[in-house]
Amino acid sequence: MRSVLRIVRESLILGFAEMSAVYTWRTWTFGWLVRLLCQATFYALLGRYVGDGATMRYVLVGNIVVLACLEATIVVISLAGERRIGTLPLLAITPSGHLPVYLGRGLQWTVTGLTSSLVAWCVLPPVLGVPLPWPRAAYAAPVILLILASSYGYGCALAGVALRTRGVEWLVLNLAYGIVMTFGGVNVPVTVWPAPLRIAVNVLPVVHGLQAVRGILDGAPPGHVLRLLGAEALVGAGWYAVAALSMERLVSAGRRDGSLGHAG
Amino acid sequence: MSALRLLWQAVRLQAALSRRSPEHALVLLIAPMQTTTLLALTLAAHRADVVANAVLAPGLIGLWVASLDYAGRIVTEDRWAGRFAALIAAPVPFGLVVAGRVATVVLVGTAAFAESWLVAALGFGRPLTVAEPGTFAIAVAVTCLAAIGTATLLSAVFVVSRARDVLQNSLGYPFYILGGILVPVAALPGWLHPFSRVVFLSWSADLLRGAVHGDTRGWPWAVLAVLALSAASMAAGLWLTRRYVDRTRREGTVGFS
Repeated sequence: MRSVLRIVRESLILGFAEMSAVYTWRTWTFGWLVRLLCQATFYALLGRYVGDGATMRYVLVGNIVVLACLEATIVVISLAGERRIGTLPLLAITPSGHLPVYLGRGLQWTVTGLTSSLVAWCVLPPVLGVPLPWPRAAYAAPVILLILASSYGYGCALAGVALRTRGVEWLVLNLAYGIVMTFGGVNVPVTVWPAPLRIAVNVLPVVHGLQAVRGILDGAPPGHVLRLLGAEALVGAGWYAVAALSMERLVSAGRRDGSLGHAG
Repeated sequence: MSALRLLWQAVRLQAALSRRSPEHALVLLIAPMQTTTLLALTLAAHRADVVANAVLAPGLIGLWVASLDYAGRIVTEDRWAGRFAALIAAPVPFGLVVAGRVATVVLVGTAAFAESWLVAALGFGRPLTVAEPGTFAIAVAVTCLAAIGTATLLSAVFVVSRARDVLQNSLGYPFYILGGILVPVAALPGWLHPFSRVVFLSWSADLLRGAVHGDTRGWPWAVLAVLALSAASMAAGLWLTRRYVDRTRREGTVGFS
């Protein structure tokens, strides 16, 4: 347990050191964070334009919560970066084994994702005139944390594709996040999609967690909310299992044929 | 070498480079998903009158993404890849080479218009018909010119700035709102209107939607506004690029990455 915590700590230090090469806290706040707030606002404005206050709230809540998923899936870029600069073997020979180190490579995005989503949760509804039922709305915070965790697993699993094919990391990231954004009940309920698609989206992160957030806001029974949270956790666990399997195969194949150090 | 031949060579160079950069196809991946999102929301709200907004917006976003994310990085990537010294040593104006390459990337972005039309027609059974095709074609053409001008300017700004990644990551959605590409500028708060009108997207979006609906009153003014913004950004971009090249020559930093 202690070694895992140490890896988490070191991963966060490395991740934020990497981020600081691009962002200062000012440029992150007034550049990146404002961009994310504008993204949620962009869709919320369409909600108000085509519908009523309820449509706007539906769209705004979905787009605020999905920010956590957007940032968590950026782990795809961090992991692909290790491939590009040829440092995957160095990470693989750590005493703790490759898996915790690989899985920890994008942890900084979970911290920024949680921050972005929670700032948006507190700031955008009053600014856009969409009242949330406080203090009940505060219960969304731990749910967003759960969504973040399951989305991170999803990102790690899909990073397996980016680690195997050169130059596709941005495509993988945008496809991963775009599928959730499009079909995951963010802007319209999943019930609008044809039956096969409606069933398929159940394996995506965010879907059940976002329904739980909407349930909390609408005062749904706790049992219903807990069931949704259980489903979100299960989906997340599934994606972590896929990620672990994918990375295990990558490393064992790389050890066998010496390709782990190839820059993709 | 004539200017046209130079531009053609620049297009060929960029096509060869883009073929090896799968991420340049990102626009084509995003557009169908965005069209699906926007159309689903519009149709779920029973607003058939807003379908044109939902179909045209991903095309405009495609142009902006191509300008901002790919065309805007051209000079910076030349430096990183070690091509910059050879390019500015060539006996042709570097600015024109950049403009030709930017145009190649931006024109790929226009495919987003076709993709979103196909998604609407095949996925939702809502083929978008254009009431005034002539005006629509003019609107698309001047919008592409404006995107090329903007990308040339961004390319120069990014290579001069030390905050390239910050700017690239930040200049998307704020401009989609200001540009009224989905929700018309008229529906935004009044204090935003003056800012919107210096963004070419706002004029282009109104023009394109007007051509689809057959309401193109005052379209020549809108076309002139887009062309003026295009010319201004292109001139600023070429001037800034020339200044940058002169500075690197003077300071002996041409070979720096």
